[in-house]
Amino acid sequence: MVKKQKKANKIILKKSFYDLNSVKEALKDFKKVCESNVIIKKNSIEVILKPNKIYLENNLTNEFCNYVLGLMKNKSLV
Amino acid sequence: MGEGNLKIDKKENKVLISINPSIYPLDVIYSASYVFLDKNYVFLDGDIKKRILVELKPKEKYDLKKLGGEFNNELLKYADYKKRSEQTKQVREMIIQRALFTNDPSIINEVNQEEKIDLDDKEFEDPEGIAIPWEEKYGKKTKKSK
Repeated sequence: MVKKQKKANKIILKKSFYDLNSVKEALKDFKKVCESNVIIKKNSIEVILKPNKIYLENNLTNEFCNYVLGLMKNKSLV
Repeated sequence: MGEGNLKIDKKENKVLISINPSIYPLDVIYSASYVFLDKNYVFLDGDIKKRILVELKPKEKYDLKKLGGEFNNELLKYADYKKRSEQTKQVREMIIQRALFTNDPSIINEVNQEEKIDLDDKEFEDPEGIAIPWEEKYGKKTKKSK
C-alpha cells in the first residue's frame, strides 16, 4: 500500500496490475509538480515522489495512482 | 469492520474490496475500477492468482459501505457484459463483415454481373407445355364486351 516517508511519498505498484510504460508516462507528466525516483523490481515498481509544494503532499500518491490507471484505460480504448 | 468482501476503514476513510479472480477476471476489475476514477482514489493490490484487492478512497465525503456495494454492482455488470459480448461476438463480426461487404464497389460489380447473366433471355425447355407466360397470367386484361 502507500507508505509515507518524511517528505517523499513512496508507492509500490505491482507489475501485474500496473503497466510499466504507463507509470513512466505518468512520471513524465508529473515532472512539473514533483521530483521522482523509480526503482523497477522483478514484480513491482517502486515510485518515490517528492512534491515541489507542501500542499501537494496529501494526495499526490493517490492522484498519481489514479493517473496511471487513467492512462491504462486510454490505452485499452485505442 | 468487515462486510462480505468489504473491509471498511473509517479512520483512513477507505474501503478495501477483496475479489476472487476466478469469479471476476482482471479485465472486469479494471473496467469497474475505471468507473470510480473520477470521484475516488483507486489502488490495486494483492495477488493476481489468489485474491485481488481494490482500495477505494472517496475524494469527498461518501458512505463507504455504499461505495463498496456500488463497486460490487459494477463488477457484476461488467462480468455480465463480458459474457454477453463473448456470446454475441460472431454475430457482431458478421454484421460488420456484411456492412463492409455491401459497401465494397468491386464486389457490387461482381454481383451485378452475376445477376445480368441470370436475367439473360434464353429459351428454356418445356416439354410438357405447362409454362404460362407472365403477361398472359398477370398482364392487363382486355375489356370484355358486354
